[in-house]
Amino acid sequence: MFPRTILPRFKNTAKRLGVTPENLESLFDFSIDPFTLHALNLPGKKKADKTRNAALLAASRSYLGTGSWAADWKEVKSLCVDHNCYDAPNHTVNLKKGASKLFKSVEPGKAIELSSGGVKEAEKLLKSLSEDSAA
Amino acid sequence: MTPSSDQLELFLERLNALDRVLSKFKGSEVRQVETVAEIKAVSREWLRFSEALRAVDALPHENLTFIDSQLKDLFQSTNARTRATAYQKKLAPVISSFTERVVIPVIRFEGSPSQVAARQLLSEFAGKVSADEETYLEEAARCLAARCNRAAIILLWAAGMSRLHQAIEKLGFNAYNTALDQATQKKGSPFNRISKMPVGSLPELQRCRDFDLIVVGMELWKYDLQVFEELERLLGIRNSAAHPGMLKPSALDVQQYASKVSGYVFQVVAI
Repeated sequence: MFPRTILPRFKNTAKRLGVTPENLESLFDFSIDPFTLHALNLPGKKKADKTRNAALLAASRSYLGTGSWAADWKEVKSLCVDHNCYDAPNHTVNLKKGASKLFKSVEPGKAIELSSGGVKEAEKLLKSLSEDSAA
Repeated sequence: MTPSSDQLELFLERLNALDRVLSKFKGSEVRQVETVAEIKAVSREWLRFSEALRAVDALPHENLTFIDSQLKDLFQSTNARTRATAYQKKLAPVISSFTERVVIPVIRFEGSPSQVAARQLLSEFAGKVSADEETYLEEAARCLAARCNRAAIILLWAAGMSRLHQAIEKLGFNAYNTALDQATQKKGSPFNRISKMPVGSLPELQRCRDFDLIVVGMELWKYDLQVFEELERLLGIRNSAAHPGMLKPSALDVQQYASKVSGYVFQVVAI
């Protein structure tokens, strides 16, 4: 069931991205509480790209749920495992590669807050994934 | 305490390091005290990890049982004159399957949305709470992670009330009684709904209704009627969560509740 508490933020985000709320909704599984991401193809040629996109996606889920553009460190790690891009010795390094452009800071174990550039990239990612799901 | 995936990854590194040390013995008997001690230490540490992981149901028990039996064998081998190759044979299946059997399931468990929600709940209060209050909040987070959302709400409110009790104790019971007098002299709701019950000790304070405390709080901490009304709504939700009924709070509802308790209690009432 779609949580009523996030409906306004969800609709506004869909409007801002120029996608239908249904397409945006299709990226998430609302039958689980708290809602989670559906299976999707994480873009990125290298593991490092995918890892950063996993962080953007986790931050997007957090934003839609709580209003905060911050990715939980362990959720990012779990997404990377699911998308086969978890590289244990280089995980932090991979995230730090994009730190200045996308993230306010990257500290192992701590939530990864997106910078304004990161928010823009996360919205772009959400839009492209929503459009892919509609196609 | 449940080991994190980071700790388990370090543990695997330790097993790999032990394997490298054993390979240097080139099949001879391991007599070096440090190496035998390390074999015993990793086996013991694993058993502690295994017990904690069983308690939280983070991964299938058969995965743990497999590692348990291998490392128990390894530990028991230290009682005999064992060759390095024999140790390595017991260690090899653990090393080769540890990531798949243990580390990855724990990473998935830690990254599950309910665990994320529990961590976000705790981060809402970071740096604002005392050790006493923290125990309620940690229990609330555990309830949220276990999808016991009503229980989480009750414990969040308990954390808030704990803050009010501590703040009143710090101000002194006389200050509370004076504020109670001032509040009862005011007319209209909510002041005409207070039960005038002066307090002189913590047990008496604990017997006071939560409603009375949040009304008197307007005198003690100078918050306005709007903050009081928000606190009254939070108390209402807490009461609904504690009694039979159709309320079905979602994880997001609990997170919002936490955010309001943090904002209207912990930021307003200092200790």
